[in-house]
Amino acid sequence: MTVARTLARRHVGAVEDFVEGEFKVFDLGGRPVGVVKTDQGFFAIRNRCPHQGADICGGTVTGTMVASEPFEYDYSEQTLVVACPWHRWEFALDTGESFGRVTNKRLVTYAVEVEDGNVYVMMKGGRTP
Amino acid sequence: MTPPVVDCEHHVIVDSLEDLAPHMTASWAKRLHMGEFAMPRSGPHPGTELEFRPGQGGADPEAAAAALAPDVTHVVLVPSQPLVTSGWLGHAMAMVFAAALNDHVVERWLPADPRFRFAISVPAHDGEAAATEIRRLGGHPAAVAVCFSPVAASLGQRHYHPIYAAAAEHGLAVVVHPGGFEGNVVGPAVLGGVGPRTPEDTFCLLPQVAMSALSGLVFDGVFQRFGDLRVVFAGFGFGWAPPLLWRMDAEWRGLRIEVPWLTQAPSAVAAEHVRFVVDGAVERHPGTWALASMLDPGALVWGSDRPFATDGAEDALSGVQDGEARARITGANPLDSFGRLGAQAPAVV
Repeated sequence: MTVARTLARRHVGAVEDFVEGEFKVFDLGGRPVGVVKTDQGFFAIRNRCPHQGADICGGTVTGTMVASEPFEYDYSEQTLVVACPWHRWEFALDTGESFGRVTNKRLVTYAVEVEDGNVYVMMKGGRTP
Repeated sequence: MTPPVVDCEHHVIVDSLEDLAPHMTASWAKRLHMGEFAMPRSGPHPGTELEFRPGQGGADPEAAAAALAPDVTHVVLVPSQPLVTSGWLGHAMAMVFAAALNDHVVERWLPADPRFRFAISVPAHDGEAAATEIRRLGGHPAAVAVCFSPVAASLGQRHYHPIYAAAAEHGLAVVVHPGGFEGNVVGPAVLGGVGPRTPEDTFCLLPQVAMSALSGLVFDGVFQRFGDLRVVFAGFGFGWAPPLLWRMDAEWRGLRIEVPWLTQAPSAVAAEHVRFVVDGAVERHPGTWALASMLDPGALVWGSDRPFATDGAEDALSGVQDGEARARITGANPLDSFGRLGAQAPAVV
């Protein structure tokens, strides 16, 4: 017998409760999860840098420099990262991967759904309210 | 087939201006004679008073060839005296001197032994003039590298780009070697603090020049511009490099946005492009060799440093117990570093 894995939908507030570019951190089933509103939608990550465990949601949400020719900087607004406040390692908000491949470690990310002006984080386990 | 054994750093000495005068214009030869020009010391490092008389192998190509270990299959000749010219203020004279010495190597040294290859000596004061000299001789089948000692500009700076471009055009490695006047006068690369006051200062602090050079090469994106370039640090040893590369990686992880053209870690860039000639004279401590484990297996190459070194090849690699590692350092790694060596059939004596 197989058990279907379900995603629990956890309500974290109304859209207007969020300020663009600033994380709000929630305790969701014992896990610290940061949710941030951006011009590309909402993103949710676990509030733990995979490098040394810092509260990464205290870091900056920003675009970043993408690969370029030497001394020809190319800043991309579209590439959203969070930069850890401890060592400034950058991780892509959408995939959780290290931007620029400075490490193979990655953030834990969660899908976010917005429905009728409310924001929900999709997490494994638990029951859907 | 005999396994390749490549001596990546065998110096050439010239005893007399008379050997070089035929390779410069009569007016330049006259200019040097009028100026009571003295041949730079064959042991250019301050405090070194070694002399190499004909017959001892320093200035006599036949004697040098006879002194080679029988298992050596290739020798990269690195003329010693042009390196000193990074301390000269006469840039044009430095180039004339180096060009004449290059011709001397081609005419006198290459015919002496089929194992001899050479690095084209180019004073680095004037990048375009150096590039012209590289292009003059870059097509010679025995040319495998260019060689210079750093001047005050970082090796990452545009100052050197004409040299890198000309070397890359011809598939030549770039050998970077101390000139002996580091920190002494305006011109050659600087050392930190107040500068050296004793020969001991100079010897011990030379890795500062190499550290600045390596950092500049990698962070300034030289290898993004010149994708096929290989740079060989000779005369600096390697023990300074592993901790530096570790630190460069650590800083890059946090400050990647400052150098976004680096799409891989600095140590990975160095692994692809940079090699280090083991300084067997000073790098004997087992701890130094433990540091080698932090480097890419392809990073180290062997050079005899003849005629300056007093040791043979075995002593220079005394810290390498593993036979395979030893074979890489003397064979595979040099062949990879000096691409033009591999392009030719192995020399058989």
